[in-house]
Amino acid sequence: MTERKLTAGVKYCGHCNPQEDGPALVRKLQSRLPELKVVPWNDRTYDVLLVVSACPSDCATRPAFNGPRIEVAAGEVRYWQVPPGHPAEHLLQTCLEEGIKVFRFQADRAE
Amino acid sequence: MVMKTGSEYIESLRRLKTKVYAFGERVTDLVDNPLFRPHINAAAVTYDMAHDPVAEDLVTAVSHLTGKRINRFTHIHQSTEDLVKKVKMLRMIARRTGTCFQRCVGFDALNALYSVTYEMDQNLGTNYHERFKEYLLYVQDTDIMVAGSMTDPKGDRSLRPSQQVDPDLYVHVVEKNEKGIVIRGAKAHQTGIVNSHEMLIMPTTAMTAEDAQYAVACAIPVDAPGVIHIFGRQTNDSRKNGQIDQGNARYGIVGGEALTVLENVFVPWERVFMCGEWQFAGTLVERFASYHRQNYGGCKGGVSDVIIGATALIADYNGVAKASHVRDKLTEMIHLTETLYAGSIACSAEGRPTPSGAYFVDPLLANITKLNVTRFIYEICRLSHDIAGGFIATLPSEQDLRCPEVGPYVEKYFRGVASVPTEDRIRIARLIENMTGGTALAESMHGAGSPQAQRVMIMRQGNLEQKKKLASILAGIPERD
Ligand SMILES: Cc1cc2nc3c(=O)[nH]c(=O)nc-3n(C[C@H](O)[C@H](O)[C@H](O)COP(=O)(O)OP(=O)(O)OC[C@H]3O[C@@H](n4cnc5c(N)ncnc54)[C@H](O)[C@@H]3O)c2cc1C
Repeated sequence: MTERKLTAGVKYCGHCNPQEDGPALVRKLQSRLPELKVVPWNDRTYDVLLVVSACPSDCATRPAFNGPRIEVAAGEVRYWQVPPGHPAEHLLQTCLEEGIKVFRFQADRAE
Repeated sequence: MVMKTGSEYIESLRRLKTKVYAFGERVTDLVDNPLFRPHINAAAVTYDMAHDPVAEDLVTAVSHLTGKRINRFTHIHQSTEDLVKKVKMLRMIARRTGTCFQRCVGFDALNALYSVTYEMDQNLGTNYHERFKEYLLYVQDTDIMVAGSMTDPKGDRSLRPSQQVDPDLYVHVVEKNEKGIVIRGAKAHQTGIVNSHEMLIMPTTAMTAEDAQYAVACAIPVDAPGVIHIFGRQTNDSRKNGQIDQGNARYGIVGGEALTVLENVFVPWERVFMCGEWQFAGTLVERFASYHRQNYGGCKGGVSDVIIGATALIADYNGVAKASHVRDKLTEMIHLTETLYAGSIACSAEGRPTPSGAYFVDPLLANITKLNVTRFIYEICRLSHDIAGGFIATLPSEQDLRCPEVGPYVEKYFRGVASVPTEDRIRIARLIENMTGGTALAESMHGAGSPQAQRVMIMRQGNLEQKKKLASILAGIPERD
């Protein structure tokens, strides 16, 4: 049985004066989690919304989305929200457990 | 409803019949002519960024008229967040182009006219706002580039429009009929107008009843019959054929300005947004000017980011990057840049709704920001010149670098640290030269109004009486009638 890929819709902040390169961060995440499929936020067919701001002001607009959401600002995972009983919850958890290290600004810097 | 891409925008210009003159000749190949193409490329970035997943959050917005996603350059600000995003968008784009991308002037004209037509209607019983909304829908729907046309040639600056010896020195209405109006005059320093689709004309100063024929706001296509554009020279415009000497060959310097002559141009009533309501000319000028002054910490912030980067690179290439005075000067450049940016963010965050619902910046802080630009950019450029060294003013040409006889000498004697190719050092020097002198500097002084225009607004908004009161209270001076 082939498992369906986890799909993340990505929303960037606009990167006016970035302290972190958001697309590079997402590429790193993808290379660590090859099962993750990344699409733009306006595709509207994804399991997890990933909001990536490139500095701590974290001004990316949050699109309306009824699923789990991870928010990253300047490489730091700020907080994440998972609606109770969401089907992607398990996958998201795995993603976070694995991926949080990837997101972590300090950990990336240390590499 | 379309959001054009950069190449769709460029192709759309080919369909226009814009009458442009440069160097005494009628231009027939505007889009591909190297005199204009860099400016066109810069404007095209405002279109492409709306489709870039990393940038679209800043460069798109949701129209309050249709609920559809539109390019932000056609949006009416609905919140302080919109105002802040505008500034961030300008900085982001300027960091990519390193120069003016022109589209903010029309953006500000749209926003100024949106709220002022509403107030005019409320006060005078006119019906401009609905008309203007129709025009706005057209702009949003077609995603056209609109030039913001305020500045008149003005002739004798000590005289009012109606007092000038030549009545055409301010744009004025020469005829009204049941179909529309006919206007005459000229608009000066028109940024990006030769590569725009339309121009949004506004009066340039507050008016009196005698000036009523000069109180005119309207929109016309830039290729309407009777419209002639005479393109302005720039400090590097004879360098357009090489790649290095222009400094920023892809996007050019400043916006590409023109004198636009209006030789009895017909405007249908649907596109007339002020016609004789002199009482509102001053409000419109101030509204537009404040929106426009808001921009400068964003776009000049982004341009300065590039100047700082170029200056830091030249310091590396010259082997002086570790010198304490160089690091101190770079720190100062960053400080000045972020101060400009802070002003733009502050006047946006302190914005407020107008009676029309559209949001307006804090005018005091917007004027402070632009006044700072008239000084800080000069200082940033001065520090850049200091660090870069005199060769930014004396470098031989690109042709000399490529010349078999003398090229090797240029290579040898213009090298800095051994590890960096001479050509890289020359390229950065040319970028600095072009971004920090001549036309680029004057833009920071006069674009969005000369410093005195900001000082007048600052004094008017500065609440001096209240400050006197504060001092009196602390000094124990009793209040007197
Ligand atoms: C690169 C660039 C791009 C521009 N883009 C646009 C654009 O897209 N659209 C647009 O509409 N405009 C544009 N402008 C015009 C800009 O707003 C004007 O340059 C500015 O308002 C100053 O007007 P001016 O150039 O006629 O100078 P002047 O008005 O002649 O000013 C010169 C000096 O005279 C002083 N002065 C002027 N009048 C008086 C007076 N009555 N009493 C006392 N002192 C006075 C001024 O304070 C200043 O010190 C642009 C300008 C530049 C340089």
